Amino acid sequence: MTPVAIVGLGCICALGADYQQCLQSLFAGQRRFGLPSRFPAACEVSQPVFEVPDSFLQHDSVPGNLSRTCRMAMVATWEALDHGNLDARTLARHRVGVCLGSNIGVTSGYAVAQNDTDAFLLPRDRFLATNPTHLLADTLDLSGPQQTVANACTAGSDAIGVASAWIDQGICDAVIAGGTDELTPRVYFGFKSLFINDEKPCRPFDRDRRGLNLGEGAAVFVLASTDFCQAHGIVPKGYILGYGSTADADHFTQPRADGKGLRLALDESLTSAGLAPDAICFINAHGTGTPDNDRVESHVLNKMFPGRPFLSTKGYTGHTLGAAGPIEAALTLGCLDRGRLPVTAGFETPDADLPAQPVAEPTMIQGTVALSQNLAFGGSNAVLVIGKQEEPGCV
Amino acid sequence: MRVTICGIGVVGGFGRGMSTLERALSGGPVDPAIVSIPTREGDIQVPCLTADTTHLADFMPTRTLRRMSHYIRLGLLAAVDAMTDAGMLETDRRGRLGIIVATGHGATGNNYAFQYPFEDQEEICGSPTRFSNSVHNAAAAYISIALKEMGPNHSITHEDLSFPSALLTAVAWLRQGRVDAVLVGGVDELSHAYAYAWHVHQQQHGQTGGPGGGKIPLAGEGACFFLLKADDNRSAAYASISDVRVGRRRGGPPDRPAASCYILGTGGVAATPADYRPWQTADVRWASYASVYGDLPVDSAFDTAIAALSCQKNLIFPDDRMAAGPRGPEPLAGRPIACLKLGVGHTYGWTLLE
Repeated sequence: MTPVAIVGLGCICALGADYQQCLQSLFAGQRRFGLPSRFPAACEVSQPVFEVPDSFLQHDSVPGNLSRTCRMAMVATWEALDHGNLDARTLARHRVGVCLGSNIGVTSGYAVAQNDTDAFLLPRDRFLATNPTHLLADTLDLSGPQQTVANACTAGSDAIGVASAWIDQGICDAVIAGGTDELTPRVYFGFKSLFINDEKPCRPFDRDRRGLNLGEGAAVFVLASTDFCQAHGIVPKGYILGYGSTADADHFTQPRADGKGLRLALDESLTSAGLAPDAICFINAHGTGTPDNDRVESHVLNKMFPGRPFLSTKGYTGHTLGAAGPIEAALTLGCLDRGRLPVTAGFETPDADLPAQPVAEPTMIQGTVALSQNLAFGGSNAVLVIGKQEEPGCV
Repeated sequence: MRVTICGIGVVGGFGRGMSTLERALSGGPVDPAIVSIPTREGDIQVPCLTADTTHLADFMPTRTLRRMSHYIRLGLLAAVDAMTDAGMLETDRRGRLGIIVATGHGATGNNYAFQYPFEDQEEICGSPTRFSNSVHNAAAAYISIALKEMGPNHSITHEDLSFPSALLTAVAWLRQGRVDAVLVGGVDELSHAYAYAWHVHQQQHGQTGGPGGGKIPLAGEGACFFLLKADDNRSAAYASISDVRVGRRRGGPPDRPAASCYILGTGGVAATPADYRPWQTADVRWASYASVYGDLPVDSAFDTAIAALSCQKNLIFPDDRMAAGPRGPEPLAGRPIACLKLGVGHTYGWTLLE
């Protein structure tokens, strides 16, 4: 795959209202969690979540009547465009697409009361206000393809992979790519019904881990071809060097025990980047804190990247579903740029049954390429190969 | 690089399989079912084109099917049929197979069923099976599990443009060489909520409020899958896809496919007759077949199957929508044929087949 340039990025999650604030909070070890604040009081809530404070969404260019999923996507997109010093007029001169991962957000507009006399029109109107992909393309008056990937927890990484393919194949000059998902009662109680939520702040890879905490957020990358960068004198902030994705083809709600699907996705990502495993300086694991997920990842990483540092950032962000991949890809690039990793929040006691443990102390890293990987409900695996710009401090 | 359609699986209100679809296109019966929908004003009866998935029991145990929602079954049946049609269901030499499932609305039946109790504050904890079956990627996941296929597996949801968008990515994967074949298709189920929404729309707009100026088709459901390979002329069972475009029109002349015969996806209310006019020129023969499969967001998947059948038979099937009156069959005469779908906000998608 031809390297795809990252020309701008934006991020919003429980860590912060923008990318720099997210990185500062990450390296300061800040964890902002609590019980859900927006659910009806009649519902039983007992498991912590990582919500985005409403104050993070106050933005002159973000209408308040949009869904939360769309508002977070807009906040991240405007930041990404600012970061890349791009505006709508520049984008309008090119074929620019939009590809976002979103799961819960794209169903929030489906609610139709069955005595609603305008029921047919409302869902379509709501589509305009609740589909973040369409909203961004419409607002920015973009002419390229639009696609919403709904691959559960790998949706955002897969959206970046699709966007990279569009640029690689000359379908687009640039693509606004990433993911966004809000926290709703449906997803909260859905995960609760599966008994995979932790009643304490999540503990990825820890011996006493009990499950995940949900979160919400968005991260958006402006990806572009080399020609686009040259035409506008843009120095990329980093690169998407490779992408791999597979299906476990095994179990609907649990990762494949032998880790074969994840290994194949890692293999494909490295092959598409033309890199050997030795080129990877660290891995940002999915690390949800569920016993099964962390076990599979630990075994696979130990086998494919023995001794290589890895971490999970879910202890800072919660599991943001369709936004998880892009948020973690953004944090991965930030770690590459700073040359260090934060501690894996929530990890305290090593699990003797896991062959590899995440970083427990701030860790210096050397290298220019890292991986960000996600596993999903339904058995999808996705891996992004992320390269940093040589000049430090540019992101 | 051209992409070859090596196999197709379809299930809808007309029945199951390409031969059944061909009979329906040639004037065979497409009988609506009457769906009873509970509302706060009492039950209403809505005629719909519903799909039957009982044949899935030929492929897997009933106890496995029992856990699957109707949405999953629709997708799985059409996917299995496409693989069978391409002669690839039982082979162990498939190469790397990608799977992409497009859906406009996802598993709306389970989605509503799981979501409503919380909105009404009647129930605190829902069923885990219902939640699992309510996610958009449920069909794609079960297809990969049933076929034991570990290649890339994506679910795309983008209302009326879901299928053209999925096809765009399928072709990109083949051109990149990351897969040897792609199983790509569309699936949408007819939940009570969608049937009711269609009923309200028909009440408001009458029989002739469709985007092409024709009759509003009945609400429909179904699935349509394609097994695609890159430039495989030996296995070109149907046709080749020479181009796929998805985009958003910003004024100026439309991005038109180089074809003199178009199949128009007329389901939905996203596009109006005025939206289609820039695309409708005198030199183009228009056809629409929504009366065969009904109104559903992934209607363009069915149009693509019909276009492939037209290429295989070298025939334009009779239609009753876009012309002043019904038109009979006529020779395609080897011409390329395009499937056009307009979506919300000036979006469009088209596929060119030869």
